[in-house]
Amino acid sequence: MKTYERRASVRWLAMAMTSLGVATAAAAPLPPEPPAGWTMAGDRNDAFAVVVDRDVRHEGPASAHLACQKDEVDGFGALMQTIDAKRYRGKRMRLSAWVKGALGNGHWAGLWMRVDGPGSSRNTLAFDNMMDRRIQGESDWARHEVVLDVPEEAIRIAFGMLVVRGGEIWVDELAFEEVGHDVPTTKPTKQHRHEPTNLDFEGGQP
Amino acid sequence: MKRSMTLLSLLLVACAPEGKHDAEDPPADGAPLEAPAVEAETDPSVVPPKAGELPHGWQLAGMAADEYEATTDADVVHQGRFSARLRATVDKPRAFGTMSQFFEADRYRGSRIRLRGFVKAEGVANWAGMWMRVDEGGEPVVLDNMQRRPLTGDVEWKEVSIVLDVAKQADQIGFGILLDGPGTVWIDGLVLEKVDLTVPTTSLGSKEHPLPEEPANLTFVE
Repeated sequence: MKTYERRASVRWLAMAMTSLGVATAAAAPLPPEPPAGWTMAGDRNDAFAVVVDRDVRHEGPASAHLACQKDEVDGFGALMQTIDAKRYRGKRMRLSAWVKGALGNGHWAGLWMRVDGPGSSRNTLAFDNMMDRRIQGESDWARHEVVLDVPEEAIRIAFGMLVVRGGEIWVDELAFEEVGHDVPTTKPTKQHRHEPTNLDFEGGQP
Repeated sequence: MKRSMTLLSLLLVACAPEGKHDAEDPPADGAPLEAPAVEAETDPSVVPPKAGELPHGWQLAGMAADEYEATTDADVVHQGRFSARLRATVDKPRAFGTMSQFFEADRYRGSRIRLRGFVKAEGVANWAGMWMRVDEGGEPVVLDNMQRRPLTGDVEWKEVSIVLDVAKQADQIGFGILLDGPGTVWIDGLVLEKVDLTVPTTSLGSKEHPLPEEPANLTFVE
């Protein structure tokens, strides 16, 4: 198991954010700029803000705080970054972090990772956003993870965290690292099939 | 009934942005283990399907995928041991959900293809349909989602079909079942086959010919 330097520790997240002179989420009339290296995404990212929180944190001086600025929105907000897949091809990669949530009824959050293949438009080879193991309600710090295989044809990897419909999360000690094949993936990588499969719904998982 | 072309355009971008839209695998509900399927008896490496799990090879997608679940169903079947069931898990989903799969178009290029299968609906308050689309250069170019002959309310098992031409430059074909709004739909016994040109296509339009071939709803009763 090998940890890459791309360990997005809170420290540099915090430094990046501090250098922008980010105000608190509550005080900011408009969502502040995301920290360096990160971009806001999501179909309602206009309603979300990301700031450094020095009070609510798991380890180190601060956590990243992604918060919906309205009671409820019809969509989601995400913090993301995209990297070249070259160094990770053929590897099993894990994104993990400590996450604490304050999420209302119908709201949920997750870490997410997506592996893209070649092509002008979206060609998703693998994707997991924890939709099937959502972070919900009021939750204390817990370690969450997303594990995906990066196939040889992968072009880029996008990852981050998302909040759906409303609420807020704190994320601390993000790590992006290679893991062994003893660690199960949390979602399968897309097979390039040439025929449809399991049309009678009787088929099993090979 | 909300049968706007907006939904068509939404479906056309079903491989959606980062986030929840193109997520796979709905929550497993811990349903009891079913008897192994035939494949499992002959090949011990195959994990047999279980009722309540996303069918192997399929994914849950759509603009509001997290408000739907797609699972195998051992109780309501048209043939064999299992059907697939797609249902809304909230009272008022904010958009549609679909159970779908994609495959490379290479073996079907230049052919007219038909997807047929049996569908059943229960309590579909808005609409549902089986669908198929053909992509070129990563973009959808032809599609039929049964928007003009939607499944609504309660519908007993019936066979439906979609017929589309696969262009020489097509790169992938996607198909599945979609549900927009509350309710439940089942699908079973799908067949994909090449057909000859005497079978008319059911395409709702294409990128080159985006306009419908006939006027619609001239009496404003839809």
